[in-house]
Amino acid sequence: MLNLVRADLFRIVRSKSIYLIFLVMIVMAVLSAALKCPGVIGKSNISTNDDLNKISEEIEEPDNVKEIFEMINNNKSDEAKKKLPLEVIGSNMNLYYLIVFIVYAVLTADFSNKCIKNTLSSVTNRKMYFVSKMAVIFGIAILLIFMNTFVFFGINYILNGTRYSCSLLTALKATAVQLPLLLGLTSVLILIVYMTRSGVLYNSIAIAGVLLFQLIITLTYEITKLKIFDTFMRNYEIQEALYKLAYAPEQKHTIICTIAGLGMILASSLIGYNVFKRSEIK
Amino acid sequence: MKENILVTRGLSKKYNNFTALESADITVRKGDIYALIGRNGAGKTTLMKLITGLTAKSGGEFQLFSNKDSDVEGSKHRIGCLIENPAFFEELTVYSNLKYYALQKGISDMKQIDEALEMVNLMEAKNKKFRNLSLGMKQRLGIALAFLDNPDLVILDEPINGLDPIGISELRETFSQLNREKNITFIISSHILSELYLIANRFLFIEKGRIVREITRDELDRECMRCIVIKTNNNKKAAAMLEEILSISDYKVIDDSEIRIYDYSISPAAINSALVKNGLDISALYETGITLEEYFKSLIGGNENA
Repeated sequence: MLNLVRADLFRIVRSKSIYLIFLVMIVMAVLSAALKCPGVIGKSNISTNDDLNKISEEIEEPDNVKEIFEMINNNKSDEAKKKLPLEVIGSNMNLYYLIVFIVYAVLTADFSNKCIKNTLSSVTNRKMYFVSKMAVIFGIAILLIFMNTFVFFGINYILNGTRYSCSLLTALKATAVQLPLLLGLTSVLILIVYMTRSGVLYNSIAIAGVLLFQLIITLTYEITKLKIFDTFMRNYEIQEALYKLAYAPEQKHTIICTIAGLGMILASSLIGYNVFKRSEIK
Repeated sequence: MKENILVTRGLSKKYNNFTALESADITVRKGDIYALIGRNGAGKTTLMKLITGLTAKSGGEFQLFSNKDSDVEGSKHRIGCLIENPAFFEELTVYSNLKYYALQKGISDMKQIDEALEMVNLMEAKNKKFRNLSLGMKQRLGIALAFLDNPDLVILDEPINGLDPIGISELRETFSQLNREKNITFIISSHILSELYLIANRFLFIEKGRIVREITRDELDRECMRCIVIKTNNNKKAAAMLEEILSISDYKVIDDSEIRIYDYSISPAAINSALVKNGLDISALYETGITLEEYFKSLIGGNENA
């Protein structure tokens, strides 16, 4: 298995995509530090939404985005300002889209280039292949998630000083509690690859599918205003769940999210391996 | 007795109602260059995929290097493969692509990569990206990968597709040399029968998933070679007369009514005369001889090219 991991790392460091993934992560960290506010892809973060609504009532014609974010920050207490790194870590759902590309680079490329047949025909069996790919993807994903925290922490410290910084240990703890859920999402992406065995289908489901899901769930909530949706959206919709884990952790919520993440990993791995075991390699 | 490298018994593959391979019984021995011959969709690639674990069997069993099919994983490092089109990472160079698989196989001596590239005359393209290679170069890279790590068994599916005549000739010589010097066993499929004929020592004819015939090179030569065909009402008597009266021993009784004589020292007219004089009814006597393509067509009963 170690040989398979070594080979994948050899290949990954020679592909541009991995550098692009880390570059995007750094750009996001710089922007968040510069604007003193996390960026959010996809469904708007609820707390940021509330802040924005409040500000938009106070100002008639905002000149630019930076002005809005400055007003948001000016309204914050000193304690809230110190929580900026936790807000940024809370928006780690952004990393999902980067993890989509990690999975593509490590695993989907094998199927789309059909290189998998070389490995399975004369190197190893499917079980070992499955485990080694998962190990590489999880390894790079964990590296990305923690590097995101370190990079933001460093840049934020340089640009904004201690006024906008919590301790590094607090930031790392906030990142660590998110890991099961983020790795759970990663394992679902891996499952999609084994189910579809196609680069195009994988991209469609992993990117467009998730945006569509978020749109449907947000619209349903906006239209129905049902309490059950409100509870779900504020607690267990993944973006919100991640935000709460980092920014306002509660023991019960943390336990539920950890179990959910581990459950996703277990279920995706079992289904994924069984599908892969029976699939024809073309 | 040579060691059996591959033995299949009743090996089958079905896709819903379509039978891709039906009850295949074959034996490949160490040092064989085993040719798979069949039309498109005949089942050649399916057989190769079954052996290499790229698809699951529907029935039967096989042994690879004396390991049962459920336990062949330990033998995988002894196999080199090129099945269907060569598949590599587009953005990596020729060398990096081979290094990726060398690392997977746990090869520590990277000189093996250069040796494999030299073997297929691809050293000059070592630093070219895979996406920039010509079809023939891609094919040669696939063959280089199959030879990486000194395999005992090399499985090549249409290996000379896209190669120019000189490239084909060079590869043919490489295969023969490796077979001779390192006793590497080959299983090769190709549409170009004349090429297979030049290197293979055993032939397997497949049609519509069924094995039509497994034959050695000597047997094939005999079946295809020029001969005199005699059709009589009493083959037993005819065979005895050929030996006793005409002293012909190089003949073969094909079935109840047909004998083939490969000995041309006695003319067809003399044979006819001797047999008739001794009271045998001859319904036909003619000379024949067929090409490999004609033989293949006669086996599968079709008119299309392989």
